Amino acid sequence: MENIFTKEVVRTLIVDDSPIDAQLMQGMLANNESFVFNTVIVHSFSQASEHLRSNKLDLVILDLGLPDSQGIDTLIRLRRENLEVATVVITGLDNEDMGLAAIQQDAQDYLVKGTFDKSNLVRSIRYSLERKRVSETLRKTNEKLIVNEKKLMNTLADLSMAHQELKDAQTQLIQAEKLQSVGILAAGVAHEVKNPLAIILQGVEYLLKKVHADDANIRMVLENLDNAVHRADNIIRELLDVTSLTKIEFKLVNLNDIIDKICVLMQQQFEKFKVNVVKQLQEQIPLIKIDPDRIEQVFVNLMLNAVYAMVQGGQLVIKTYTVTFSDFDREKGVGRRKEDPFKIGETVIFCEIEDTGTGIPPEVLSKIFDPFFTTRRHMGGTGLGLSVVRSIMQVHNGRIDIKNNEQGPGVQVTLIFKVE
Amino acid sequence: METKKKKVLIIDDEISFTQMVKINLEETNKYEVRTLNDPLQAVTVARSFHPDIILLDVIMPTMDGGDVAYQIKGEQDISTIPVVFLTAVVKEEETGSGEGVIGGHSFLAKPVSVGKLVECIEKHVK
Repeated sequence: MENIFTKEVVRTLIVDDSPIDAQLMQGMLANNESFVFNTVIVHSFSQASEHLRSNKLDLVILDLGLPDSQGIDTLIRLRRENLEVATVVITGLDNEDMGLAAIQQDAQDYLVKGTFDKSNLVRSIRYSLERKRVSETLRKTNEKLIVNEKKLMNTLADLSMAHQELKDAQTQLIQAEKLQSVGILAAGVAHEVKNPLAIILQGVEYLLKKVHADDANIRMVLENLDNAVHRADNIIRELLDVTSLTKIEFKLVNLNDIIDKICVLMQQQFEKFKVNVVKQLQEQIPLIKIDPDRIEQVFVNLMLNAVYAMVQGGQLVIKTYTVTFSDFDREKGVGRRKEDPFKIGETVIFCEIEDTGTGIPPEVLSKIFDPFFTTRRHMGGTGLGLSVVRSIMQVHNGRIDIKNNEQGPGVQVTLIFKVE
Repeated sequence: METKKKKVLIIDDEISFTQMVKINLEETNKYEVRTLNDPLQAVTVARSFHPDIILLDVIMPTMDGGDVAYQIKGEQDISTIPVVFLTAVVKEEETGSGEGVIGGHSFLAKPVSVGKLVECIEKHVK
């Protein structure tokens, strides 16, 4: 007696327009020693596809010449319906090329009508089932691989972003350290230099009083000395500004008001260098908690830089607008972590200052915030302006980015202010 | 009748600075200036000279200007003498110009002009 528990059950669909051929095959599959074939016969492609949709199958024996579908197309359409079922194709006697084409279209084997008997058929089925199993495993593994690869790519992107963030943080740390050492140095220098300056100033003032009023040359020399002392003193004061940000007085203010005020202050400079100022300030901007004096200093420094870059005239565009960081902002520093300076969902004020000047040579772009770095030493630049600006923005937990304009000449400065 | 000259004591370890301030202030004919370069003698000199005002450097090698001021404030007969710090020490307030106030004391940032010194003395000594 047969023991169906030791035999493999094969849910089989025979698709053949000839009922005789179909029954013949069904007969060949009956009472097999290794398989139990649960066979269903259909005679057209439409019947076959309907059956495939509603039943789980292991094997399709497919005649390629059907009333509603002929040739290799029949197989391609079947594969569109179902990728997982093992398929043995039956071709006409004179058309063995079709069999090869079928194998290329993912049939597991082919048999030529009228040339096979029971044992050929069963052997073909056995191999087909096995091949299908192997190829299915391969296909699924492949799918998993693709998914894994995608995950890997995402992880890699996350990693490289994290790496970039780390690098940025490191750069900032180095900057901060530089700034700190400059601060310590500045404090020492200030004390050591201001004392002799005080002596010189007192001496010069004494001599100015003692010199005869008509001795123009001596008077001129002494006045030059007096000027030089004050200039040296000013440089030291600026230097101290870089680090002496301990006493900050925060007030709730409207950033647009500050910009308006500075634009009025700078009016003469703008006119002198033929700079056309365009303000695009968002109305009803939220108030922010800042030290207005410090932020004014930021705008003065940045606008002076812009003006000096446009000595032949140009345009200065100042924009303010609010931004609420969304999940899609993969901008650095925006995230859910405690250490992220800006949180997802947080609203901030962006202020952009764009000039049409000469831009920043790429090779110095990384140095622009360095204390004492200047391209205008010959014009009396101390190299402390941007250093001060950055320190001030840091004290306000804000951010400053400076880059060359992507389109056209000039520089784009972006300031980000927190809204409390 | 000539008005009585105001007495100014300047304490600073920089000898040339005190010399300069002395000649500049005395040039005005309004002040009698005593210089002191060793802050450890501040109380003794203040007692004997009894100035109308003390100009005091902050950072000195032997004794801090703050300590000098504290000592003076602790001495009965000189405790009311106004003290103005003259300093090159780095504090944010000092980067501004003119007279400022630290801990209730007035100060002038070095380098300071004669005009500012006179203005300051006149303000504190009526």
